[in-house]
Amino acid sequence: MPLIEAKNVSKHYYKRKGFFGKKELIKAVDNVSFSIEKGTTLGLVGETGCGKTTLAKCLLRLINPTSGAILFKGKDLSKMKSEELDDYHRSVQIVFQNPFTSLNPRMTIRNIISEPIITHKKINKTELETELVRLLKVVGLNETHLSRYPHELSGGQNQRVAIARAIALNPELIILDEPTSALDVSVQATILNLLNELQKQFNLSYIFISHDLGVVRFISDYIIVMYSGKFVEMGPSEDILGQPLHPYTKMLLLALPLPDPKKKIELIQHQMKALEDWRGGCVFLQKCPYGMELCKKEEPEMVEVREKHFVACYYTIKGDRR
Amino acid sequence: MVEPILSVEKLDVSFSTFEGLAHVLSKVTFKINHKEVFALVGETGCGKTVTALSIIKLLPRNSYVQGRIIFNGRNILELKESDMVEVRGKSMAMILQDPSSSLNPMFKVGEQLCDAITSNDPNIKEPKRYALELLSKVGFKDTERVFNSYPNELSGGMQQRVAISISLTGKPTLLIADEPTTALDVLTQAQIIQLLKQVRDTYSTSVLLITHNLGLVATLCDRVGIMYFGQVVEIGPTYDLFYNTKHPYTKGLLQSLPYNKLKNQTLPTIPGDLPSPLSPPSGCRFYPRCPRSNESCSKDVPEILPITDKHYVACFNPLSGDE
Amino acid sequence: MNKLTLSKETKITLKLIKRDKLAMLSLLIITFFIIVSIFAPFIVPYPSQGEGLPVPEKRFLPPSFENPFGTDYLGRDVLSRVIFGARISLFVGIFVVCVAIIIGVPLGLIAGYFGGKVDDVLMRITDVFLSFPSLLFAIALVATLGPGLFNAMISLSITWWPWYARLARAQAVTIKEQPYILASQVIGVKGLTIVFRHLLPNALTPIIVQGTMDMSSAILAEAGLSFIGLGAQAPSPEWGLMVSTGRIYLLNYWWFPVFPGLAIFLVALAFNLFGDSLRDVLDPKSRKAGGQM
Repeated sequence: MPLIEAKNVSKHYYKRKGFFGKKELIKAVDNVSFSIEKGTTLGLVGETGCGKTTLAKCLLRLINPTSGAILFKGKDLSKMKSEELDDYHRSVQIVFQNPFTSLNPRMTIRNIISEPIITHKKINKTELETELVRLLKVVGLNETHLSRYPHELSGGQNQRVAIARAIALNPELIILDEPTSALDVSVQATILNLLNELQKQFNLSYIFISHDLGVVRFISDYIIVMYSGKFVEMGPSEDILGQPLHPYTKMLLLALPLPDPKKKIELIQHQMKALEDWRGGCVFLQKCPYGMELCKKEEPEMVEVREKHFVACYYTIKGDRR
Repeated sequence: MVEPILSVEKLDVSFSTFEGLAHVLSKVTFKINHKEVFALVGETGCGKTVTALSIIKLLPRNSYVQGRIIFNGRNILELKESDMVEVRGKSMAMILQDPSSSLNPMFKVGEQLCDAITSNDPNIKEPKRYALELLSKVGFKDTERVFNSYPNELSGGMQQRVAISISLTGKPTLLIADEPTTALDVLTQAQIIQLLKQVRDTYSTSVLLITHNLGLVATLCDRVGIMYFGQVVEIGPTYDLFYNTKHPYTKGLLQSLPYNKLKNQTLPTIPGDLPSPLSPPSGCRFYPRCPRSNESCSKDVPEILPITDKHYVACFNPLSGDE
Repeated sequence: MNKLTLSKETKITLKLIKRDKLAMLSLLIITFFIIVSIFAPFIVPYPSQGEGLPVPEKRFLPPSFENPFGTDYLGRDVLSRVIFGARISLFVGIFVVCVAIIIGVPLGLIAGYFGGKVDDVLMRITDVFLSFPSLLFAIALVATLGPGLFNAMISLSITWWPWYARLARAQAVTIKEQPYILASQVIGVKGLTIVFRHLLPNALTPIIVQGTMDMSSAILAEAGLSFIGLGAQAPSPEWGLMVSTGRIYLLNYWWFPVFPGLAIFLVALAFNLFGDSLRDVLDPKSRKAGGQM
């Protein structure tokens, strides 16, 4: 049984354009389904505003999805009792992008890490102290950091504190929202190593949100590519990056600047200029270099093209059949 | 030999802070040639932004500067502020990381662009035509619509292109780009990279790129300077730097990248943390974290010396080619 | 927060204040008044006169060695009375501002954090209070409660808390978007706990600044109420009351109204200046210019 399963989850909301303007329907997340097995990492790739963060918030139950169901160990979240929900909240945690804003600047590291513990458990002072020291050791810090404030630590150390806070409740899933994009290259490596170690040690599942395909490839078992609220491609990471199917994934891979002067980036220009203002049909149509007449009419569905490798694109599917 | 556009010689910068004097730059030396994209690469706090601000002379007041910055034959550090205003925006322009904050949200793109044009050359009769021309040069198709838009109606990538078009109004000989793509998505970043290359070719502009993104460096730049803790530790053509790395720090940076590495592999890291700028280590500033350091590293500061005619390194025990 | 070791922030704040001469001067004035008012009974030359004992044979004596500020229409030493007055004025300032903060800030933070209906109800209530001119409102309140120092203080607090509620709400609205608030929500921390554990400490800076500046307004307003007879009553050495009774003697016996007036002026100015510098000092922008990398 998968740890978490999302079935046709959507989050829509209305946004008013201007003060007297019409209400416009925004499909932040539109009809997405996926599942995560225990101990695996799911990479979620997409550009700013594609709905990655909204989806994460749905999983954290900070917002409720408009439709669809999220199942935790086979049980529907919307049908859970409050104790079961408490249990769920403990099991799903998050680490944010910028450690300087995700830690309260007026709290010491001790208070920051003990917050989840004292919120959920009755625990005496000495037990708390040993627990704090244990957590700090796990993330590679030590007790001298306890009485410091976040601004006295470096970005990497702060991110370790944020990770310690996330694992304090022994969660099963951690959502990592671009956890290394605000960090330096050499620090990024240490954090990625730490995340891999923790996964092995505690059999954690990760959802790794990022727009950097290079980093996602390194850490993920599965990758989902998201565009404008929809999943466009999903599959095992080596498969997706080795043989990308969706035009968007291909464009992303070609445009990614690699640290290798021998490789050049490439931008596929779209040829169908007339489509630029077209709305409806496939979400990617406006930027797609291969747009067809069919793409204007209907939205493509996710189709399993290879084993566990899904893609939502008429061009790819039809092209495969030819 | 052609004179370089910009030559920075032994630039020392320190700031007075509440805890004492912080030595931010120490003997930074490099030059940028005509029509060249030169990158200064380094991690947070290595002084790359301070270097850029020294060149455009916008350092905060509590700074002490020594050394020489020769730009178009003149030492910028000796220029008066009134002369510097002439240089800034005209022969030297700057693009910032966050385009949404570098454009004024209260004015239309066209107004800001025309403003920049007329302030650079009051004699231009039809600033709008020139503005539209610039907008099409940075890749806009419907220039008229962009001209009449407010910045918040444009996407991040479009805003950055507008910012670049504004910086081009004075036909600068040097364009300083401080992390110009960090706030952008991968596809937009690719567009900006191509635009910067195009700007270099059509305007014969040299570009100083400040970044920590080694991928960006590899795809965009002709030469690279690696900075560590206020010093330039290695300078060379991009290819040499990536394939014939000499400085252990550069090597450490390149190895710590997760690209082309398998999951569950442990990434090589650089041990230790950045030292404090208030009390930098004696000798080579990298020696406490360096795997190749020996006794002399802690005593003497290595000078940046040529290894080949274009490749410079500041290290007593540089890596040899096959390591 | 109950440790003696100062955080780096606090140290920087202290250094910046030390650097600002006007701030130091105003701080000096404020501390002077505080010390003087604490030890008033021990340092004034005539404690009993300070509290209001008349000395008929010494009426209207000009400033001299014995009575540095002269004597008033009942022969009491003006210096002693001004010093005793400092106790009242400082107490009034602190009391009014503190009560206003204690009422206003939690309400504002709660309104801002929870939003929606809670916000609507709380903010409409504050709007009702804010729609009256505050001094006029205070006068009306004292008139109903009956004149007196304590009633004056209560009315001033009641008219003032909505300002703090507004300020706190604005703070809460911006701070609640911070990722660390989201992080606590994910952990499962309850709403009110988040308000007091996370929002309050981070919203405090502008509130403290506002509070310091309002000390002067509170002292002035109270002096004003006393001046028109609604605040402190007759034998009390309240400054506003002293100015009020002394004003008819201004031409002949100037020292009687001028010295308490001067005291009001000095204290109000000092609090205002200090609040002003405090705002500059606590502003993150001015800190950066002070020299981080």
